[in-house]
Amino acid sequence: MAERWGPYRVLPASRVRSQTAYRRSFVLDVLGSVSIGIVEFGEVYIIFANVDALGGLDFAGVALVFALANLAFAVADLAVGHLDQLPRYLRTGTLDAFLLRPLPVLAQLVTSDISLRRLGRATVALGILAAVLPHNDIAWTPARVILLVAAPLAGTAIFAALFVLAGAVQFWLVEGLPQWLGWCTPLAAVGIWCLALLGWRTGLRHYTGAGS
Amino acid sequence: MDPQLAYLAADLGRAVYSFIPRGAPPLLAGGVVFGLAMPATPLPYLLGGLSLLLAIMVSFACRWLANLAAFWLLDLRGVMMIYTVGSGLLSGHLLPVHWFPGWLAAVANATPFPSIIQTPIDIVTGREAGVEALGIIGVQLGWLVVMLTVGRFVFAAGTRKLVVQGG
Repeated sequence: MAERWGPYRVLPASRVRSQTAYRRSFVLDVLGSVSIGIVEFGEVYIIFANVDALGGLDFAGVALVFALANLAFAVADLAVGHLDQLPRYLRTGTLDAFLLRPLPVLAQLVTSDISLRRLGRATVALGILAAVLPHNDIAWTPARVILLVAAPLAGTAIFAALFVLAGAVQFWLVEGLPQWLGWCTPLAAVGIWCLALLGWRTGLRHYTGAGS
Repeated sequence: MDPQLAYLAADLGRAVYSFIPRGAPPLLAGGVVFGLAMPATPLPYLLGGLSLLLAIMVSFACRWLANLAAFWLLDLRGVMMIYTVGSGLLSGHLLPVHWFPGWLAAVANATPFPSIIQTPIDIVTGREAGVEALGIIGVQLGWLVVMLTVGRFVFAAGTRKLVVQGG
C-alpha cells in the first residue's frame, strides 16, 4: 500500500522544495496571492460602504458568501489551477513523459505543479470566514455546521472539475480552434434553446396564477 | 539616448495602438447598452485629451519604477502581481474612487494611481470642470514629475549595481 501511494507523496514534496528554494521570491509570490484576496474583498467592502443591502443580504451575509466561494476557488486553484498549462505540456512533449510512467496521467499532472503561492489567497479567505462568521446571526444546528463544512468542500470540487474540463478541451484547442467549429454554432444554439425551453416549460407549469 | 524617455515614447505608441482593440470596444458596447452621458461643450474633451495623455505617462512612470525592482530582486512575479491588483483598486479601475469610504479615499489620493484612471474619466465626463478640472490636471502633472524623477534616481542606482550576466 505504502509503495502504491509513495509517488503521490514524493512528487508534491519535490515541488514544494523547488518552490521554496528561493525564499524571497516565494515570500513575494505568496504576498502577491494575498493581495489578490484582499483587493477582491476590498471591492465588496467598498460597495457596502455605499449601500446597506444587496439582494436581501447585508455586508456580513455577503462577506460570508464571498469567503466560502473564495476559499473554494483558491483551494481548487492551488490544486489544479496549473492545468491551464496543458498546452505548454503538449507542445514541449512533457505529457509524453507522463504517459510512460505507471501512474494515472491526471494524478501526475495534479501533483506536478501544486502552486503553493496560492495558499496566500486561501488563507485570506479563511481569515475572512473566521472574522465574519460571528457577525452573522445564525441559529446553529448540527445540519448547519455540516453545511458550513460541506459548502467549501463541494465548491472546491466543482471549481476543480471546471479546471479539469477546461484542461480536457485543450487537447483539441492546442493549435487554435478548428475551422469547422464555426459551422457548429447553429447546433450550439439548438442545444441552448432546448435547455432554455425546458426551463421555461417547467417555470410556466410551476406558476399558479396571480390570484386575481 | 535616455533609456527612460525612449521607453516612455514606445509606451505612448503602445497606448495609442491598444486603444483600438482594448479601449474602444468596451466604450462602444457601454454606449450602446447603457448610453453615455457626454458633455455637449468641447472644453471637457480638450482637457480630457490632455488629462488622458498625462494619465498614460503617469502610468508609465509608475510601471517603470515597479519594474526597476528587478535590479535587486531578479524575480518580479510577486511584485508585479501586488502592483497590478493594488493599482487596479486604488486607480479607480475596479470601482470609482468616489465610492471609497473616507479613509480609503485618503489612501488612494495619497498615491499617483487615481491620476491614471479616475482623473481623466472625471474630466471627460464633465464631473470636474473649470478651475477644479485644471486643479486635478495640475495634480497629474505633479505626480508625473515626481514619479519620473524618482524613476531616474532608482534607475541610476540600479545600473550601478547591475553586473550583466555573462558579460
